[in-house]
Amino acid sequence: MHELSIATRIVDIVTRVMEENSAREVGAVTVEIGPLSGVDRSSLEFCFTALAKGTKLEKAHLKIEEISPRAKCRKCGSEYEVSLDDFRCKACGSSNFEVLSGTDITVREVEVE
Amino acid sequence: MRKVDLRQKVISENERLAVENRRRFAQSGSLVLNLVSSPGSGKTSLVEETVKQLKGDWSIFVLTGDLMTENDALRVRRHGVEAVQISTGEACHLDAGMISEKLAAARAPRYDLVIIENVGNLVCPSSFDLGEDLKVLLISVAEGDDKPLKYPPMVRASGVLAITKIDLVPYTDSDPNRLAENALRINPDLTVFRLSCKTKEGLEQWIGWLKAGLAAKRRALAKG
Repeated sequence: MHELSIATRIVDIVTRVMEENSAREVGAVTVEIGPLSGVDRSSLEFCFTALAKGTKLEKAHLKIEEISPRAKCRKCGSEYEVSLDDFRCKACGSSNFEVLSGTDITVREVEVE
Repeated sequence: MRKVDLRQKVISENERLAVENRRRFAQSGSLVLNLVSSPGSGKTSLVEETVKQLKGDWSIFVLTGDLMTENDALRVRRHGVEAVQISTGEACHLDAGMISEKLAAARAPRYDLVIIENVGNLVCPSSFDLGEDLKVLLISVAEGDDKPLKYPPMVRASGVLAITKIDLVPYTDSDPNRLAENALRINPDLTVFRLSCKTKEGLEQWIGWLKAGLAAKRRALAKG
């Protein structure tokens, strides 16, 4: 539901990158989304497109990559992809684990010209 | 086209302000809770019960977030405790900037307990660190025992699960143990309370836990 503010932040980041690189145009903006970030992919795309329209970001397109949430078991040491309805270790069932990825939204790469 | 490698976290501005808030709370030795739930789970009632029991010994600051109205802050102020309403307009969550703004206008120089009552929403507030010590997730028994499974990011982000309106269990199909089990599968580190602001069940444990929490925080701060 806060995708508009996230999209605004992404537009700010891309605008800054364009200025820093004296770019006239921008192409693909690669954004990584973790399933634990609470962000919905399609509404983020919608908000970004709406914000970019009529600006120098008009030709930019969001390339969204969904990151799989991974965790590491503190008991048996195995790393595994977590199921969102049960985070416990896939190998030994332990409840003692650490979530390694899947909570962030990251602008990974911006194409500029 | 040239590719610019960034790897920049998008919510970093909020993170920066949250770190700043956390530093201020550490300086003043305040225990800070961020209450999150769906609308109507009983956040304000729990705030009222908490301030009633602790206001004699502690200085308390309450921030309540809603889209509209001052109602929640008024409910808390009735108990003689400083409470500020944050009206978010249409925003679905509080962010760290809103908290620092209200802190700057707070009346007392320091507080033992700061309670932030977030906007009723189980999605967005999970992404916004406000500088709190932990999030307290409230789920009332009438909401369905599978609620934690529907909102895993919030369950992951929280440190406490308060199962509220426990007095209503006989009138629902809820099994609070099953609700707790569902949440613990996603976040085994949760501390679980079963509470009723109506019958006062569980409130003694809740208040005891708050006292222990403040003492532990002060000890940790003293050690540096």
